Amino acid sequence: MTGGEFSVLLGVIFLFASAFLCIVYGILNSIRRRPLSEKERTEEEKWLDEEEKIDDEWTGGV
Amino acid sequence: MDSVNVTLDVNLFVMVAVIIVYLGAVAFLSWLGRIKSRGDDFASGGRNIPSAVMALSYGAAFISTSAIVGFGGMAAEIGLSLIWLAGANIFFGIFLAFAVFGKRTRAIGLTLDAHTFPEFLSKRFASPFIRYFTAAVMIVSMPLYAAAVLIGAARILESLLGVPYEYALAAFSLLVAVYVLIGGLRGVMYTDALQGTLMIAGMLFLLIAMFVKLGGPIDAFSKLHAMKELVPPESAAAGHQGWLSDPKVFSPVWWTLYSSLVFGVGIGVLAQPHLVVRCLTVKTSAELNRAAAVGGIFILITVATPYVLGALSNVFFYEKDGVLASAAAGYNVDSVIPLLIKQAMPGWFSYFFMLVILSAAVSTLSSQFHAIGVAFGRDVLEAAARGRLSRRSSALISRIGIVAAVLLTVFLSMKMGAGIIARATSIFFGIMASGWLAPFLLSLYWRRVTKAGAVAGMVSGLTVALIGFLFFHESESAVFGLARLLTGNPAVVMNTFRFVDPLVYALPVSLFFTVTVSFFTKTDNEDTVKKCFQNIKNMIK
Repeated sequence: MTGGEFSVLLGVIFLFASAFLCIVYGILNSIRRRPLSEKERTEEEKWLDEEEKIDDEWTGGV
Repeated sequence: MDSVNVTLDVNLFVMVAVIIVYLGAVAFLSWLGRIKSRGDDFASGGRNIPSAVMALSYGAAFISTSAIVGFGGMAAEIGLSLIWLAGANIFFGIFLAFAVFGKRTRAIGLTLDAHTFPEFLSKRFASPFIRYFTAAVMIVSMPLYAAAVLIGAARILESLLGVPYEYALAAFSLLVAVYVLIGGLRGVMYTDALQGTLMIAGMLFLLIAMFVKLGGPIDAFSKLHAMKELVPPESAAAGHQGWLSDPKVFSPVWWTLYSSLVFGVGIGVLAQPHLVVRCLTVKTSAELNRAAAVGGIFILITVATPYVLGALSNVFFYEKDGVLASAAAGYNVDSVIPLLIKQAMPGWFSYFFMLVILSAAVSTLSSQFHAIGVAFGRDVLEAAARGRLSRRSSALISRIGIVAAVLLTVFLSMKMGAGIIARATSIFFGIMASGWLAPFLLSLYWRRVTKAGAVAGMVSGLTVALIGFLFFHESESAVFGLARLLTGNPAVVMNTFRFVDPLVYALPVSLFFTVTVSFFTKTDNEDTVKKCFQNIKNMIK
């Protein structure tokens, strides 16, 4: 295998690694892996409420 | 140059029926966008667009006809090393754009109530000048980019279906203008999602059918590898080493591949106004995580497939006619993919491919028209009115801006020569990335970047990029003709430097001036900046 062919192989690896990264990142961050503790839940609810409030403020609650 | 007939064998009745069904679906989605929209939604979609729609819309707006037909044809010429661009599109254009920069963009945009790219920068730096300047550059340069897409799409319809070029141009413009005017950004994104789905289906079918035709992936690539001895001598002299190999390092082909395509398009996408604004449309930052997954799959299929097909088309044409793909297409690389569809795919696929091409062009054009119109309406006229306009008036002005953008784009498409239009995409990407990428990304991470620093970065990056395009980068300077006027050569410097994309040196200049000037100047709006960064912590999970 020449250097140029190796570079194309690296490009293919980069392509699939990037796509894999996007998919895994997207899935892992969309799935809650364990139930949150009471303290974490309250914290998260606070964040969500706050964010909802800010969203509604700007979008008129659409 | 030989003329090659790539008109597809289609039945007029079936073709019209397919187009009517397609237009019906587009009209329905535009109407859906309209009934779900309110005042500011025209510019930013109401900030509650579902993640999958957002990701498909981003991808469909990003990938135009030129990515499928133009870059696919280029892969037929230079080979599979273009796969680095597809990887860069996914890593920079999707992963970093959504999962890293997108969340901060959304958080700051929400805090500042910014609905457009110029408005985002202007409010972040408390500078009306930045808003007008950014909008003006978009209004002047983006129609060139839109004209490139419009001309490409009209030429493809002309060649595939035998429709006169002017009719194809008028039909395209009218179709896109009507549904952008009706649906605003929400309508654009809904229709983009439909078009993105069509593009995925079309590309998947093409890839599988091509592998079946060539005896499976292993056989296909083995045959392509064995063809490296067939590289034409003039291509070998420019650095070509075969279709499964990179060009020779620092050869003209290598510089074009890595500086203009991989660096220019792959990284330049991070500062494209019509794509950045999509991060402002989702309801929560978690939606951007999901969008990264959908966007990654979309780009993998729609971008990598034409590159693989383009490279493998050499095997197909060599086995069939004993010639390389570019020779089969009359040495016009833009005809390689349409010719491949005509000769290698079943007849019914012509209709579907026509929809894929239509979708790729329409989705990009609609985003461009929307971005130009909103820059004109919201960022120039409404900003100049200083809050004296109602939301309804703002949307109306944006619609007027869109009509002006369409007319200007059609005018440019009719008047400008093929040479300059072909370079318009890279000029627009280069200009925006050279001037705006450094200040924009720094504004997301560094509180100390100041208004003066941002302006210095934008102006210096833009100036250096323009000088590069006008005098040094041969692809563009040869078209503008100023270098020839001064030196008698197509570029001022006739060594390897003429193949280096201006973004490679304009971006570091812009970064240098943004950082240096920010160190020596003070932030005017410390409270706003503090609030922005506080909200980043609150909103990003």
